[in-house]
Amino acid sequence: MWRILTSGFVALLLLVPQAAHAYVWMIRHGQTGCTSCHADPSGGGILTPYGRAQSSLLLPPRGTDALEDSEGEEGEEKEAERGGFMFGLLKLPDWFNTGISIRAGGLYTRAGDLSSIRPVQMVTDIRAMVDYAGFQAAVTFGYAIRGALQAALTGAPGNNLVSREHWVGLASEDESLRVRAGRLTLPFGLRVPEHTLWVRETTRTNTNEHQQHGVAVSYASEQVRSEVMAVLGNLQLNPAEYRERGYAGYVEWAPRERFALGLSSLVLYAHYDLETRSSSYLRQAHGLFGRWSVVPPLVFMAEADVLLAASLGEPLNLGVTEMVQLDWEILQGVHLFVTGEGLHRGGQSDFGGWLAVAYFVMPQIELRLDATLRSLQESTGRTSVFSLFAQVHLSI
Amino acid sequence: MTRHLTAVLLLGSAIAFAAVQREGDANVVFKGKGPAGFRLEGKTSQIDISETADAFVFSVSLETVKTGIGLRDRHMREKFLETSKYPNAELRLPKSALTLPEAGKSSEGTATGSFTVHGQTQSVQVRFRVTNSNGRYGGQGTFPIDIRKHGISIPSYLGVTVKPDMEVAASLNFTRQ
Repeated sequence: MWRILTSGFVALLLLVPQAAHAYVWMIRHGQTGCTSCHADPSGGGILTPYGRAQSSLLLPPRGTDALEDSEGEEGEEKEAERGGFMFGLLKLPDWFNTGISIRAGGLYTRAGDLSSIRPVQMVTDIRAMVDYAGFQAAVTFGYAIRGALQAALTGAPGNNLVSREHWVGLASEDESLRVRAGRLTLPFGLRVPEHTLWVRETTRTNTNEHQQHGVAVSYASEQVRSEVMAVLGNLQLNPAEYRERGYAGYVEWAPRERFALGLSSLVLYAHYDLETRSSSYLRQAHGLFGRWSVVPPLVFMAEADVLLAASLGEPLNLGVTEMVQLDWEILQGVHLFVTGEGLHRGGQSDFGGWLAVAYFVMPQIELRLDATLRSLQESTGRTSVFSLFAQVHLSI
Repeated sequence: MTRHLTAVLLLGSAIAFAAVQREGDANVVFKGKGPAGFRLEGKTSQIDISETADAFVFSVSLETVKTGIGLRDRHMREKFLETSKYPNAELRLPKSALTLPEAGKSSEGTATGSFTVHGQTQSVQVRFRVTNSNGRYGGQGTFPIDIRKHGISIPSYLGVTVKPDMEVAASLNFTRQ
């Protein structure tokens, strides 16, 4: 009974998919890099003005956006404006970009005999970015009713002010090389929206709250992109003994415009690890990831990571986690995602399946429905946890 | 005299009309780059081959080039390539520099040709490879261009600027009588 309750509680907390702005399936459009559209060179977070315009063209169904219909000089100016802040109603200077992201929905979860329905507020953030003569700075600031505790500024059990990202940086003249310092999303693996996938949760590299403070250097060319970060710890976590230090990084090679293969690695140490309640805790993750757009409507994404962790003097815990995802863009603006994942450690294996439909009503509005089923191995047998999550994302 | 002149003109015309004919699929890609790994590819399959007395001529309809985004295609055609004035891009390779191989063989090398786009012509170095399979030739070629030398403005949109150095790559099959 206790295990069922625990599983249900875990499901309630964790099976809440979040689609941030990192759409790795954009590789279908021949763009393997992220820098042109995102302030973060590894993707996600606030969009650049060019990224906003691309969103207007590539996310919603065809014929719903006047960008395709406008002609001439006047039309072109309207094109840029419609992708801008507040649907282009507020014109921003070239060096400043801002946006608001609100994501909320309703979650139904069933684990064994337990079920629940509750509203979920995931993201209520304002994001801003400055980009002038190679100098860049970005910040997100928001509010979280529950969750995102590692990004909290106010440190309460709930109803916190949060800042997931805040950093300053310098870019080379051709923007291929960037150095950033601040609270950054860890560069590791596929920056997928579904932050509760095991490849994101077990490596602690999701975009929801796993950002940490440090210094990162990124490089991007036509065929290679890479970022390495010296992790100095999550300075919003106290006391200092809880903070991790080490590195995280990846390198991705894209020999073709619709195919990319990458390696990730991280090694992090904490005097005391809050999640496992372990002292002198060293954890590692090393893995492979790939993206392939077979034909433009179909994108395969996959990631597999080896997990290594141990406290000083304790036996090494070895695990493996993997995921495979197919994104089928049935029509422009309508996506069907089919995902499978696994987590293997301590002699036990858990499996998960995920079916999701996303509809970009407009570039600024996404509707999404996710159904997930996880089979968790317990000492008494297997527990199935099912969740159904309907959400709306407003990004203006 | 008149009959002799007429015969020469007719014979000359017969030689000028191409004995070379494109067959099957073809592909032309204009590859551009931008900041931090940004890629841009404009593709078309509309390429024609003909020959004159001293050159092979490859002609591409720029109206048919697609980059995958309709708005970008329109910008490219209207603002930068001005396809209403200059609808085609043309590569001329002198026959003396391009040896067609015998059946069952291939030839490759570098040839100096002339490339015309946006109404302006520049000399280009074309790396080529030609195969001959029972009289059916397969040709691939690539060459770099600097769009500024053809009077084309540097494309830039919302902070993303395409670099002036681009690469043109083409492949096609043809026969020659």
